Amino acid sequence: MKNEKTEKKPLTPFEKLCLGLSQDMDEEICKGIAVELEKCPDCHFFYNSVEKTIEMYRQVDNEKDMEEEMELRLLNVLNLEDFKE
Amino acid sequence: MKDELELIEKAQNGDRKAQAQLVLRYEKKVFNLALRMMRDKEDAEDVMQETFLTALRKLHTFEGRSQFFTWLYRITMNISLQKLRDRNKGSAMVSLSDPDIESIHGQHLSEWPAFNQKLISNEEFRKLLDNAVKELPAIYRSVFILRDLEGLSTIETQKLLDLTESNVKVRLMRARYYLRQNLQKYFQEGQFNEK
Repeated sequence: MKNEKTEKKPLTPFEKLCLGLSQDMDEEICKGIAVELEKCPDCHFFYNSVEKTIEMYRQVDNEKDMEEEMELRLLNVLNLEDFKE
Repeated sequence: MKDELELIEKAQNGDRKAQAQLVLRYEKKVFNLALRMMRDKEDAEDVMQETFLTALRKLHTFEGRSQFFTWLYRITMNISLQKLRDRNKGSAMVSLSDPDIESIHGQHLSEWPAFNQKLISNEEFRKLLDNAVKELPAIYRSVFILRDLEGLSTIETQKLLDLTESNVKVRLMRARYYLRQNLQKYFQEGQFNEK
C-alpha cells in the first residue's frame, strides 16, 4: 500500500490574520502574523478589530445563571424532582 | 475525575440520585451552550431538556473514551443544530465567502474605539451583536461558539462536530470575518463611538 502523507496546504496571509487568535496556533504561524502586521498597517487594524470582535462577544455572551424554576422544570421532566438540592 | 467516573457508573446502573447529581452538575453549562446556539431562552430550555432526556436514555453507551462534558456537548449541539435546521427551513441565510488579503490592503482602516462597559451594556449594541450571530448559518455559528465562546480547541471542536481540522478553521475564519464586518459598518458610521 502506498504510504500517503497528508500534505497541509499553507495558510494564506488572510487566513493567518483571521485565525491568528486561535489558542492552538503554532509558533511559526504566530511569527508570520507578526511580520505581516508590521509591514501592513491595515492588516494591523484588521487583526486588532477581529480580536475586539471576539472579545465583545465574550463579554456580551457571558455565562448566564439558570432560573430556579427552570431547574425545577428540568428535574420534573426527568422525573428527578425528589433529588432537588 | 475519579469522583465523576464513580458518579457516572452509579448513574449508568440506575441510581437516580447519581443521575440527578450529574444533571445538576452540568445543567448550567448545557443551558448556556444551548442559549448561545439558539439565541432564545425558551428554545434553549427545550434543548437543555431534550439533551438530558437523551443523555439519561443513552447513558449506558457512554464508555468514558471522551470527557463526560464533551459527550453531553455533542448531544446538545446535535439537538440545537436539528432545531435550527427546522427553524430556518425555507428562509434564506447569508452566504459567507472567502475573504482575501487584497480586501484589507488599501482600505485605510483605522483603530476601532476601545469598548467599555457602557458600550457592552447598550441594549442596541447587544442586539446588533445578537442579530449578526442569528444571521450566521448554523454550521458557522456552531464553530464560532465552540471555539471562541466556549474556548474549545480545534481538535475538540472537530471531534464534537465530526469535521476535519481544515473545515473547522475555514468556518471559524469566515464566521469571524462576517461578525467583524458587521461591526465595522457600525463603527464606521460612528454610531457607537464615544464622543
